[in-house]
Amino acid sequence: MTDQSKIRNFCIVAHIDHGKSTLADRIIESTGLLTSREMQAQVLDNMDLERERGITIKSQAVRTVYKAKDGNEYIFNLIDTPGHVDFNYEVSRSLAACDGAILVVDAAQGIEAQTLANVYLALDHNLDVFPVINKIDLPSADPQRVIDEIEDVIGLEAQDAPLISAKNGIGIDEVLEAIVHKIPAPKGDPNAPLKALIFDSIYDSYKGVIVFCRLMDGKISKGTNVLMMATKASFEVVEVGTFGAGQFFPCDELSAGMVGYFTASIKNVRDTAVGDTVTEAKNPCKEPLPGYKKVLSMVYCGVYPADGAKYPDLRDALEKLQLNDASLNYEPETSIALGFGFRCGFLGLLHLEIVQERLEREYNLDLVTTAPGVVYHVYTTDGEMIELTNPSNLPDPSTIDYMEEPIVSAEIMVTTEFIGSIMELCQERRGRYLGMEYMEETRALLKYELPLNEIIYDFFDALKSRSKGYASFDYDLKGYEKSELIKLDILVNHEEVDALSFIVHKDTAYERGRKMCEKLKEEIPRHLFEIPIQAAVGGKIIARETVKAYRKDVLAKCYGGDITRKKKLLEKQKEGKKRMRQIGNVEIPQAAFMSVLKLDDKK
Amino acid sequence: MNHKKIGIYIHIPFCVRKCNYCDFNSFDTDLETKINYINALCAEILEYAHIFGDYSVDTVFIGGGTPSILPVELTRQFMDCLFKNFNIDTNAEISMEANPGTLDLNKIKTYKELGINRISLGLQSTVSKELKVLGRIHDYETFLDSFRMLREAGFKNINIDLMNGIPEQTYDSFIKGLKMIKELNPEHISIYSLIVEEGTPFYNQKLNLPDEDEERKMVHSIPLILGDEYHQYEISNYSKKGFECRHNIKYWRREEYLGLGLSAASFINETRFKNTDNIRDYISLFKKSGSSDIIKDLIDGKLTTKENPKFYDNNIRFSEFEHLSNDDKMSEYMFLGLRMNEGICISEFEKTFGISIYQKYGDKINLHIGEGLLDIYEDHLFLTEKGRDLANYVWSDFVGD
Repeated sequence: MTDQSKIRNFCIVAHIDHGKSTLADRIIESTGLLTSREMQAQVLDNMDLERERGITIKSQAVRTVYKAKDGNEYIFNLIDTPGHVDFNYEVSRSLAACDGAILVVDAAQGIEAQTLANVYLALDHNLDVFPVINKIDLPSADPQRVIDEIEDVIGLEAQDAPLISAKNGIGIDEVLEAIVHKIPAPKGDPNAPLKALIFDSIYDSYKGVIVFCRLMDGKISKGTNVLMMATKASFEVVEVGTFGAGQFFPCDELSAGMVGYFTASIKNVRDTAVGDTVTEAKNPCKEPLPGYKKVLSMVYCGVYPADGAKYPDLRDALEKLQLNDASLNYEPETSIALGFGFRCGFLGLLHLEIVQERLEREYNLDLVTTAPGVVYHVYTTDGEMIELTNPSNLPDPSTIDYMEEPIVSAEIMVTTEFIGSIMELCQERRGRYLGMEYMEETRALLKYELPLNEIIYDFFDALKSRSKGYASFDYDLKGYEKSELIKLDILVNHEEVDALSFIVHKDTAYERGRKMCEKLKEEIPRHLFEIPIQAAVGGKIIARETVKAYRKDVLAKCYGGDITRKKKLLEKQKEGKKRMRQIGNVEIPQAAFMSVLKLDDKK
Repeated sequence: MNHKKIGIYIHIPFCVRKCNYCDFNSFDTDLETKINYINALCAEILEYAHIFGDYSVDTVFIGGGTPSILPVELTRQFMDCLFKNFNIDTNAEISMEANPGTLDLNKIKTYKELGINRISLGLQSTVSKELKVLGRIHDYETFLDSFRMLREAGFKNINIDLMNGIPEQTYDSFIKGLKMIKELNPEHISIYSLIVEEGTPFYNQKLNLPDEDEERKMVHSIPLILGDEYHQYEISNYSKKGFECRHNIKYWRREEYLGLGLSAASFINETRFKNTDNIRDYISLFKKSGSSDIIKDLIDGKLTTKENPKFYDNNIRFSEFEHLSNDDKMSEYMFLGLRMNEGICISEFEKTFGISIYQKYGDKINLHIGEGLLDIYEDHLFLTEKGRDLANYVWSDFVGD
């Protein structure tokens, strides 16, 4: 059994780009389990997508051994957490698996919105947090200002915070010693009934689901009959082990205080929900660990194969992705415009984009996705509540009593010069101003309540462009509120295109409808006939544009019998046609279905 | 003796200056390069003579660039070489493109003497303002002089090239010009719609182009102006009966032709290939010769271009080399045949490919007939007038997959 006093379970929290992953790399490198040669640029983020976007999508864990200045060897379990608001719940479960956290703050930028959100989340989980100041070698670094800021704003002791440059390996030893001294050792009871927290799981085609867990009490080894307390699934453990960097090291037993994995021929990650408690079937612990939540999809959209014949491929791909991604929901739906496809639920827009990219990249599918929407609560006159995920399914207005939409509480941190334009943006997006706190003279934290459906489109882009990139943003679902919502329909050549319908607040319907028609006019190519594009609410036309008929499409010259060149031109034209969807007798390009996303014209 | 027919295209890539709309391989250069080029061209003629020397050549087309820019001795050099090494039919159609402003009486007489019997004059417009915007070097008077000289020298088959949809052009200026041309009574008139291509000076300019409706009105008026004396036989070509350009018809009917010179395209034995676009490569290639056996094997499919990277992969000799599949052949048959006003012979399609045209393309044909773009009369499938306006839209349906 491993001596718990020599274990440190911790994570690193930071605002995006403040150097979390780089510091993690340095810790792993300095503890000597990996040679520099083996280091990839960023060891923890091993999905290609993550490396490209510079964010961590899945939680990961690494176990390394550190020989401290006191002569003892310590086991470090570094649990990496996702860094985006879409994954707040996953973050909270990863934090719950830790005993402490390192707070990384950029020596030039200081505290940002996610710094605060993440540090408060860590403190909520009773973690001991110590700060490090990163990027001290930047010309614009001002460590003392940042130290004062941490003390003033967060109230953390920061005078002795290690001053480091993770990128250039400055001050890493100090961080390692601080981990030993400032992060508390776990204090579980190895002889109590098994109680382990699932903080992630991945699907492996040979071993089945690999469950990442933190043992609070008890032990687990091969042959243990485990029970998942929330999903009630039970399995016999096949293998237990600890984490290398991207590798798995089997061992005989995991005991209280340890972080590791087990496999049990589990077929689906749905049985191993993040946040669930693992216990022993014949000797269960009394209470599950607190904090388990069933993951809810916040954003829905229709996903269709560009080529209708690829529908079975899309279904297979979604099935495979879901094995690894319990927060991805999908169910079949049909659209008059797009044929057979799926209504998919996501944690947020980033999650949606990631899934979409993986489907296109890893499964080689060409997709048409409809504009994302949120889940509305529709109360009918006979007292029923419908959870509406697809605008086309909105019941007849005469049977609707009222509707509710999801509201988030948002915190936006911004330099004072942009307060005006950001407030204007929030106002446009139907935000409710709650208050403002000054972090220091030049920066303020704006608090708003915003309808979720106003921020899933292009809010983030608009925020960035209106603050020249200086605003940072964080949000949490607050609940549902009654709202005057209507369905906006789009008619192309007098035919309603179901996949283009969306739900809007009645005050913005006219504006949205007008912009949508303008946008579609740009997207839809000219045809043999004139095409009216109309926006309608309840059968009443509120906006209209026209795509003129084309009269001429001929490239007749053909020098010196160069037929190949002519053929290539025709092929190119044909390729363009393939990327269209046929609605009645109008061809609509795939991009048009996403155009509703790009209606903010103040960019 | 082999009685297989073949057409020959010869490319002369030189111009006085490049026109503002031109995206073809042509440029101005010094005399030395022209001499080197014609030497290389003659070496290429000799090389192909080893393979095709016993074919009977029934059409020759000398295109450009501006072939008439060449010093007449150089024209004589390659024409003599061609006649010496190929069997040119006595009644072969031998066309040459010429631009007003590059012709003189001596040149014209020599052309006649060399066997050239058809001249295609690049006029483009009768209006000085429009010619200037296009970047042409001549005016209408110069053109008239050239035309009269050609007639006086005894040229009985002359084409005049015109364009419509060019900057500054109006419906009235186009119609007036076309009437003037008709007065001159040429045997053949080509009228192309201007396409602003990427990579040409026009592409980045703000142009005062006639709008689409006006441009189409011009095109639709052409038959009315030309009347019964001329008939349209191809999407851009009008002629008197019996003066259709036989060489160009070979392209649309998928008959064989050999392309000689820089970036010239050939079609032989269901194989399409195209010479390099690089004049330095072209000239150096034919300093050393003796590759005719290899080329013959390539065309016959006994060798592949992969085994002979020198010929393809490094783009030294050929920039393209493709053996056509059966689908390619059918596709070409459609989009090339539909350029002709008489269209495609339905029974001939089946005879050629062993499959009915409806079995292969029925859906597409029916769709476009429904749209009023295609029509059938007796055994022929052809573009309607509206179909000719939207020809690319129709043709593109018959390529790819």
